[in-house]
Amino acid sequence: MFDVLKAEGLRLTVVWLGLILLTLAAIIGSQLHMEHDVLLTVVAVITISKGILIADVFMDLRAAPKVWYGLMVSYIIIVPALIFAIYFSS
Amino acid sequence: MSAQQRERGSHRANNMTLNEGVSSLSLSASSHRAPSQRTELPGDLAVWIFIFAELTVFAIFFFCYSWMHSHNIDMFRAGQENLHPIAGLINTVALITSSYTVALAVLFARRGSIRLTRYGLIASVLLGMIYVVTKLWEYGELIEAGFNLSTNNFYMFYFFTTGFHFMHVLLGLVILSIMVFRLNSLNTASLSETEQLNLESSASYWHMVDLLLIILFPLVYVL
Repeated sequence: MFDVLKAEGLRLTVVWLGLILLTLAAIIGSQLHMEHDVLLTVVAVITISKGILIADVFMDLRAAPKVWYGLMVSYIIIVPALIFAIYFSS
Repeated sequence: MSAQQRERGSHRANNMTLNEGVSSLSLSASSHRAPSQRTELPGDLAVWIFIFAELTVFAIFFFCYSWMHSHNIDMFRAGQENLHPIAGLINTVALITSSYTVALAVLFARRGSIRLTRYGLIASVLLGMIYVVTKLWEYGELIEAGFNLSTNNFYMFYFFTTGFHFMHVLLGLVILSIMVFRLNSLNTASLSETEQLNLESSASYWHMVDLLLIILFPLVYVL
């Protein structure tokens, strides 16, 4: 059991580092004077990826009943997708 | 019987256990299972209903902010130039790290270590305080420069949306602090099932606050 928990701790740490790197990537991307649509796409992918990592690993919803996991993942994909669709349309 | 009804029944059974005065009950074998082996919702069902209600409210704010941004691009870009992206970055890193230490605290609790669980929660509260101090500094700078809710639509949406999120951070800090005090007052070597459920509920709420900032951060500081 402790080996499994140790592996879980390592997984949390890797995801935490990944989240920090993705946050920095979004900031760096905004400073690179990319085309607006390219920046929007990059930031959308980063935001959705970070959300899914939090739901999967930090919230531990992957092990929860599928309906709850599905609800959360739907929110994480649909809400940012609609937000970025509004930005794309401007 | 639906899964929700079974879960409610399970929670009622937990409360009955508490009412019977067996608060020092050690974690059962099922609670000691590793996260990948669990099949239940972490925390209380009611907390998850509350979390989704909050997420829905924030979704409306995000849509309104985006809509106003797309129809007032010059005003919003001018407003964003007066913000402090470094403060936004510090806050995001602080909350992500705080969410990580809360997740570790839950893991330590499942392992049966109250001491490490308490340290994880204390670290989370301290990291959350970094967010509070940085956000108050940022608000102070903007107000000192003459910007407030009535300046224009950008500042109205900025102060309203980030202020609403700020209130959630404060509530989360209160909840985590209560959990620290509850753990301090425990006389047992490991958490009871009820305390484990309370911890997971608190952690789930705190992760929601982090998730909301992950969506809010690019809207306010990046795009």
